[in-house]
Amino acid sequence: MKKILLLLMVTSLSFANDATMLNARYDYILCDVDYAKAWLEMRESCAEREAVPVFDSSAYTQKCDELLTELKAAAGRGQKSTFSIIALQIKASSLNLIGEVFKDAFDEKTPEFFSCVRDGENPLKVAGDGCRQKALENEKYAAKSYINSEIADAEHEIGRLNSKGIDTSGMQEIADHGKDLVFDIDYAYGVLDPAEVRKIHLRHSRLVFLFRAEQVFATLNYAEPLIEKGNNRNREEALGRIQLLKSVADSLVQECEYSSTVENNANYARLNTKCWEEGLDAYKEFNEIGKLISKGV
Amino acid sequence: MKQKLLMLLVIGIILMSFGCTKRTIGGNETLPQLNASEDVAGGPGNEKPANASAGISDQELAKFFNISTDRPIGDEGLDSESPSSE
Repeated sequence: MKKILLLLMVTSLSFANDATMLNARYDYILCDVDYAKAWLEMRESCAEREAVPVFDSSAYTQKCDELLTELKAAAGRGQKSTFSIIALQIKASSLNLIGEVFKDAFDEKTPEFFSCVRDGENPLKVAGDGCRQKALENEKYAAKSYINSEIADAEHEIGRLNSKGIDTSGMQEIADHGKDLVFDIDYAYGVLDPAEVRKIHLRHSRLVFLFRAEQVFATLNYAEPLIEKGNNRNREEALGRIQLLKSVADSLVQECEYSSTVENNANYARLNTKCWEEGLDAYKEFNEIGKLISKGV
Repeated sequence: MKQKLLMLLVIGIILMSFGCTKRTIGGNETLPQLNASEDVAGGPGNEKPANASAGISDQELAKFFNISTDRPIGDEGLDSESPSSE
């Protein structure tokens, strides 16, 4: 009963932190979309004033409104994966829009039209920057709660494994990096630069990945001699898969080494993506080995 | 509204857990821990320890093979481009 209540409590708090963080991020993304929509409206007004043709952006606007509704729903439910997918769709939509605007600029436009757009976008940029800054100010608190909650979960996992004598030194090192990360949140959000805020979340993503890789490695090292000496019916297969996965986990920890300095956001993000793609396969295999051991009892 | 209801639920669970537990959660005490004697003597099912000296059954060992495949919230939405006349 105590375990169930504690699990419910931890789950509820995790969900609340996820939803709060996602809602804060939604507000930031909304600033970008609102700016884009206002910019298109301003551009169409200039086109009408200068009697030049302009492409029809209603499809973009409608698509964005639909995606924003889905994004808001995902944020409210704390659905991280769904939120991530929709945020990527919004980004893709924005890139398409920029492409359309670029092509349209060559379609019978006049210098007066371009001048009108330049004048019209200045106040929109000021408003957009203000919106984003306010969103980041609010997100800072959500980010602290979110990352602190993840650190608490990590310490709980370390305690759970420690209770059986599993060597958690690798996991603890990563959790300690997480605590250092929290200290950098104030600065990153304080400069109100999305590029700096990205660094925090890129580092966080790498740390979560590495913590799980270290946990996999620690558990496999603990389990291997026990399975070897035991009488599990799936002993041979389990040992073979354990040994293979240990090698994979070890490689992942080396290739995806943590750096608290983010020299280039795009490169760091690319390596994160690669590490997660390979890591998720490893984590799924890890869980499958557990089922194999359980079936061999 | 939903967040308020959620917080009330969390507070209720916390209050209930204080009523149910005899130990304070904090310091070096985390969750109720796996106990070798509970595993071996009179535990549910006929679980044989994988290794007698480690005192852990295969079933208990398998429970450690449970890792989340959920990715954390990253930098989504922070790297979008905006249209501009420049």
